[in-house]
Amino acid sequence: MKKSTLRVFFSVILLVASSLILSSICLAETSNLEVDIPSSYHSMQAGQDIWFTIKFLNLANQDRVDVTLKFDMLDSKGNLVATNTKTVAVETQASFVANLDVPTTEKSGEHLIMVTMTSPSGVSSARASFIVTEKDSRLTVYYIAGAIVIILLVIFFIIKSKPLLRKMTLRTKVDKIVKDKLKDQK
Amino acid sequence: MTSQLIITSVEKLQGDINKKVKPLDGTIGIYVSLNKTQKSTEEMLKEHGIDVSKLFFIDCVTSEKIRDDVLHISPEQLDMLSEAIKQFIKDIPGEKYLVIDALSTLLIYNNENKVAIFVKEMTEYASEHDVKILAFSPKTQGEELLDKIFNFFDKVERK
Repeated sequence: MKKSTLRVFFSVILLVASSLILSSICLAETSNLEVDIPSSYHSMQAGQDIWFTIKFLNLANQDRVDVTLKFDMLDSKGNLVATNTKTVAVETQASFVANLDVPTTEKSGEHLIMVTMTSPSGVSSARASFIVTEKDSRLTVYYIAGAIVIILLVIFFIIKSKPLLRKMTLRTKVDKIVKDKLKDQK
Repeated sequence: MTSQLIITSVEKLQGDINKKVKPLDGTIGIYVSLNKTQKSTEEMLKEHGIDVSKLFFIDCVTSEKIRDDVLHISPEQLDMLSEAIKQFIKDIPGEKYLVIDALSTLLIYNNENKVAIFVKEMTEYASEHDVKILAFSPKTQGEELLDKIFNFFDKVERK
């Protein structure tokens, strides 16, 4: 009786263990990681946020699995310029949106977003490229032109209002002289 | 109220001013002094028994402020002079008169046309506000200016 109970117990443990191993193998074999950068983010300026989507396709297991996602931004020479990590729960199929800041000092050129997924079944990665362009110099030109216009307007206003201010001062002086003298006479 | 232009010789100028101002003694006046300092003008008027306490002086000769009740304006600044005279006319209540001693001095610092415009502006403003004007000018100076401006006055006296 005891022997048969032990047998059943070990059989159950073996079954559970094998099913777990099998599910992990399924996930590793069938998981498909995909990174997609929307077209509007294919060309970015330094200092802007780049948004992208991460998709897990064909996940065979039905159970929820916690996976760690690491997002790296690499420049054309392969240097790491930005990074972030996130842990998410995954079932059969999932899609997430993530973002990274393009550093303000980043030079122009082709860059990569590399997503590395770490799950109980192993590590997989996917990548997508985008371009970092130089900051829009036209905006700076507009700001400078605007500032010059404002400065010129202020100078024009000061020049125009100077005689008016002098006249106002003069009027005040005359007012005071008349007021004081008439007061003394009374 | 009338506006008068008195053209006289340099020697008689101060005497004529005294004669014209004396009957107005007791009335408040605005005295624009263009060829003498306020101090010397005041002394000369006092010598002839004119009550200078009723006079508001605009001194266009000296720029140094000695008294608070005297306004100093450069004769080059006709717009400021005109503004000051107008403000005095506005601020002084009741009957008043304006003395300009002497108009031709303005020609040293300004061109004829500018002075003529200033005179026209003053005579019109004074007329609108019922203010008597006594403008003096030496006979020998600024004849062309005098020809341009005599029409702006109700009365011109040539001595």
